[in-house]
Amino acid sequence: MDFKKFEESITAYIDGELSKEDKIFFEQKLESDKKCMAKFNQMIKLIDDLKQMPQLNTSSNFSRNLQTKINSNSKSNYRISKQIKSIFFESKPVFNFSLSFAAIAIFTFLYLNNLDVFSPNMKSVEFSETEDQNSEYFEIELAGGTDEEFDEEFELVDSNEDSLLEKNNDLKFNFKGLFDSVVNQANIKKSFKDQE
Amino acid sequence: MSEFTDEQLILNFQKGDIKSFNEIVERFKDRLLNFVNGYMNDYEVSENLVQDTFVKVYTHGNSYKEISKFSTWIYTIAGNLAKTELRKLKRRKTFSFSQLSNEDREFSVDRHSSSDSKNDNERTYKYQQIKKAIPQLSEDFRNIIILRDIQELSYDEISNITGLAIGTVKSRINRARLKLIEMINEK
Repeated sequence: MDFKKFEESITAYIDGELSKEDKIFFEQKLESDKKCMAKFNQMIKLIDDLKQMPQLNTSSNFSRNLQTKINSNSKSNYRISKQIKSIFFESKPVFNFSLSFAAIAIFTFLYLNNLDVFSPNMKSVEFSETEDQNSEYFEIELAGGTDEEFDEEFELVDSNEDSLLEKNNDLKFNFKGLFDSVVNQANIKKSFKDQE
Repeated sequence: MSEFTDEQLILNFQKGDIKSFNEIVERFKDRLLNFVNGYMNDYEVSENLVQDTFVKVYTHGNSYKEISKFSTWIYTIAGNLAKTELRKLKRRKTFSFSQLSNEDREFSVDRHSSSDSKNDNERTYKYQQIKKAIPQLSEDFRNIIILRDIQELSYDEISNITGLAIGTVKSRINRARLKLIEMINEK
C-alpha cells in the first residue's frame, strides 16, 4: 500500500469499512511508516476538533423576525388571492354588461355584413395586377396548397357534396375564416373598382 | 414536546399545531444557521436564509411526506435557498470569498469546558485556524465536512441532501479532511 492509497483509506478505516485484507495492509503501513502515522493522527485530531467546534447561534431576535416574516408572507399571499378573486369571481355589473354588449355587437356586425366567418371554405386569395399597384403581382397563400390543387378540388365537388360540405362547415367559427372573409371582401371591392 | 421526533412534530404541525412548528424552529435554527453559513459565510445573510427556510416550512408544511426524514427535507430546503442566493450574489458580482464578514464574530457558545486555561488557549487557537480554513475549501468540500463532522449527519442523510451517491460522499469527506489538514499545516 503506497502513501496515496493509505491517505484515501483513512476515513474508510475509521468508519470500519475496509475489508479484512485492506485493514491488515493499512495497519501494517500505519506501524511501519511514520509519515502515514502522522497523517492518520492528524486526521483523528481534526475530526475530534471539528466535532467540538463551537457553533454559531442565531441572534436573540431571530424568533421575532421570523414571526414578522411569516406574518408578512401570509398577508401578501392573502392579498394576491384577493386580487385574483376580485378579477375573476367578484360581481362587476358594468364590466359584465359591457362585455356582453361588445360580444353581441361583434356577432351582429359579422352576421349583418354576411362575412364568411362560419364557413371557412376559402383556401387562397389572389391579388391580380392593377394599374394602382405599380404592376406588382403577388399571391397570398392562406391555407397551403397550390391554386391548381384548389381548382381541381373545386371542380370535383358536385352540388350534393357542396351542400354537405356547407352543412359541415356551418357554425364552425375560427379566426382563419374571419381573416379569409375580410380578405375576400377586400378582393371583391377591388374588383368592383377595377370594373368601374 | 421534546419527546416527539422531528417527523411527529411536522405531522402535528400539518394538523394545525403551531407549538410543534415552534419546537421545530428551536431544534433546527442553530444547526441550519451553521449549515447555511457554510455556503454563504455571512452571518446576517445566513440568518435571513434560515428564516426563509422556516417560512417555507410554515407555508409549505403540507408538502412534506413521511417518506424521507424531516431533517433531510429541511436541510434540502435550506441548501437550495442558499444555492439560489449564492447564484444571485455571484451574478451581481458583489460577492467575494474574501469577504469573511463573520470571521471576527465570536462564537457565542463554547461546548468545550476545560479548566486548564493553557489547553483552552491552544484549543481556541486551533478552532480559529479551522474556522478560517473551512471557508477557503471548495463549496463541495465545505458543505460535506460541515454536514458530517460538525453537524454529525449520517452518510445517508448527506447523500439525500447533496444528491450525491453514498460512495461519492465518503470519498469526498476523506478528501475534504485531507485538504483541511493541508490548509491548517500551511498556516
